[in-house]
Amino acid sequence: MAHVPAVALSLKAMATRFELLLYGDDPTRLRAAGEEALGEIERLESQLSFYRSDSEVRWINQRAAFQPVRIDPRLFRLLEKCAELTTATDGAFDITVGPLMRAWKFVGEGGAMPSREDLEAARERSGMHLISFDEDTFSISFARPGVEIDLGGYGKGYAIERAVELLRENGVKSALLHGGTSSVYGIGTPAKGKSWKVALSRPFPADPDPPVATLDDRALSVSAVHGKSFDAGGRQYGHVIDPRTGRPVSRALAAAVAGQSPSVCEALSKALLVHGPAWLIALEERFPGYQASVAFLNDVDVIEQSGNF
Amino acid sequence: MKNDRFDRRDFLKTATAGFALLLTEEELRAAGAIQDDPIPGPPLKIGVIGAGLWGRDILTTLSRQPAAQVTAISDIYEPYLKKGLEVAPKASGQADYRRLIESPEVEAVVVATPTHQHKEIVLAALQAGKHVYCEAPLANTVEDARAIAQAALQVPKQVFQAGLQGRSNPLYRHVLQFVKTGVLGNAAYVTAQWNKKQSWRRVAPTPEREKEMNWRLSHKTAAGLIGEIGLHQLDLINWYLGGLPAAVQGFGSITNWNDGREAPDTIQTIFEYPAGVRAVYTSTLTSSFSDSFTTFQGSNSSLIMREKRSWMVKEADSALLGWEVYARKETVHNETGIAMVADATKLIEEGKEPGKEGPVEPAKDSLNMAFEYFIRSIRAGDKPVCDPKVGYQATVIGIKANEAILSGARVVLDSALFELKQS
Repeated sequence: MAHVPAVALSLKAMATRFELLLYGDDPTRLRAAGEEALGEIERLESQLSFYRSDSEVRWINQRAAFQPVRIDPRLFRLLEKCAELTTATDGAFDITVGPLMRAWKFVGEGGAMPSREDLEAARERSGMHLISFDEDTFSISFARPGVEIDLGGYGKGYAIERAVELLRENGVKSALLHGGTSSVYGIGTPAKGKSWKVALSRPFPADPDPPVATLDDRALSVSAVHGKSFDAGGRQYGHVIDPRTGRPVSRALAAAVAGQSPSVCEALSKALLVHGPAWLIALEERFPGYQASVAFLNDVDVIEQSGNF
Repeated sequence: MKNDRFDRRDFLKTATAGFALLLTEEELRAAGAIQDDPIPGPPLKIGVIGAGLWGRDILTTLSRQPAAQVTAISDIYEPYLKKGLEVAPKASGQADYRRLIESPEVEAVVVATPTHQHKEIVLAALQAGKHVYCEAPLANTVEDARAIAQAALQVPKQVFQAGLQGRSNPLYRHVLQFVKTGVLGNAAYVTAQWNKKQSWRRVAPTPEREKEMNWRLSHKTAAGLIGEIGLHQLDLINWYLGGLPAAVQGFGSITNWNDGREAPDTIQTIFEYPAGVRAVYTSTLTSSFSDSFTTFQGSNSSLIMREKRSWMVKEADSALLGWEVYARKETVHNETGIAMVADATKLIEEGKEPGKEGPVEPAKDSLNMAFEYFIRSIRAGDKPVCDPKVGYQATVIGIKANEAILSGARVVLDSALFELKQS
């Protein structure tokens, strides 16, 4: 068979770029399948966006403290899943961390140590226990004003998951897709070569070789301490909050998780960044089949990697 | 925040700029986000026929409406039915739409099937005494569209709403008030486009199913880009100009998706409205440039309408409007535009700046509002926001424009074409 080029599609959504590379012998049908997958990502963005004025998440955030809010049952299930992941990660993955992020001025600003009062106020408004679920009416409510959900740390993985499902349903047998290069999935195997292989870039140590994930029908998610770090009280802080303490994470720099589900990988990579290398054992025990690595600053401020990539 | 008790008012006062996203309850009410005026009566029991992509968007919208309860879904394609039921897990699912229509658990029927299947379903639903929300276009032939509209007019006690959701768009409704007071001056012409780089093609496991799913690509089952998509903007033009076109010319070609389809992927059309005003509508599936907008140009000002944003650009010699000083200004097309903000009348009256105090974009999208109006018409007897005649007229203009595109001839739209017998 002659070499068939990939059908490539892309979309700007969720403040990043999604790309699909689809392989097969009918480009017209591959493209149609890809368009349906991108359509679903677009739909999810308009539903899950924290910022869009008419997104369902915005709708919830504005109202759920005042009255129970009826929501799309699929979103209800997604939020339940997020709550389960919060439990399974000992509170390190948390979609209600927004008020803390703002208290530390991590939203659109460089970061700064908050006052004790501001930090306390933000902690009162963070935590999954502040969200109640009513299964009968598919409604959710917040315990108090100021609580908000932000799926920024989950939406991309979820979007990739849904896209993969649609591509499979539409008969796609070989594909690589990613959202912002931090959430990746390989369907089947490549047309040429044995496996989808993705290397982890810095801050993962590249010497002698960078860590590599094999993604045959598997997902990879990478989370890093983004933005600049800042100094306060003789300590360096990065832009990731530990939801349990309300304080930024100081030693872990990046975390990568590979496994079956893109959305679970996304949540676990966030949690691993919060917990650091000590949590690798718990992760592998609780999530069989998942593989994880974390890059962190050791006691003498040298970047080290721990994990099994 | 002196003690443990959380005081909302204190919180709002001390909130940092980052909290501007959170409005006060009063502001939420003003923005229509919290309803002061809930729809009376029990939730409306709705059956949705057609659980494809659009049908599921409708189901999603309905899942958020406290005044709606989806009790039944129908689709002949099992995977779609299953996906539909994920959005409405408590609804019953059936392949045969007739079972849905006959169900006493259904008060109103939403028809979101391919266009050419609307007539049979709508007529059956009206016959069974149900209220009907029929997606636009109503049909892909004038005869079918007329049959639907005429049947709806014969049962005035049943609500019929056509799915031209632009009529429910809070921004369009807001700007209409300005159009009615003559801000445009003498209208010169209208330009409108809908661009998206997309093949419009769908895949399915079998060739038969795939053919059914690609109904939009065939002349027999769809009215082309202008009739399936363009009619929404044509309806906005009808609405704002307060008239209907008398003739249409058009061109169409396949410029990119040469995959055996019949329907052109790129079209240009010119509509002749009263008083020498023409509307130029272009659409392509080949290029996404500048996506979708409608621009009305007049001697005093121009209006640029996008789905969620709108701007007014004034001529230098036109009189200053009283509220202009408060308005938010933005650069649009290299000019200074006044941002039009839905529900802003109240803010302006209070001397506040719309868009600065309060959101720029409406909190509820058009589809959400369309169903709110639909349910309100049924439960509270409000006048339907998009009646059979409005739906019929836009549908017919789209169908005739598609004829002009396919034939290359100027098609005259006789006024009798737009008339319906009132019962």
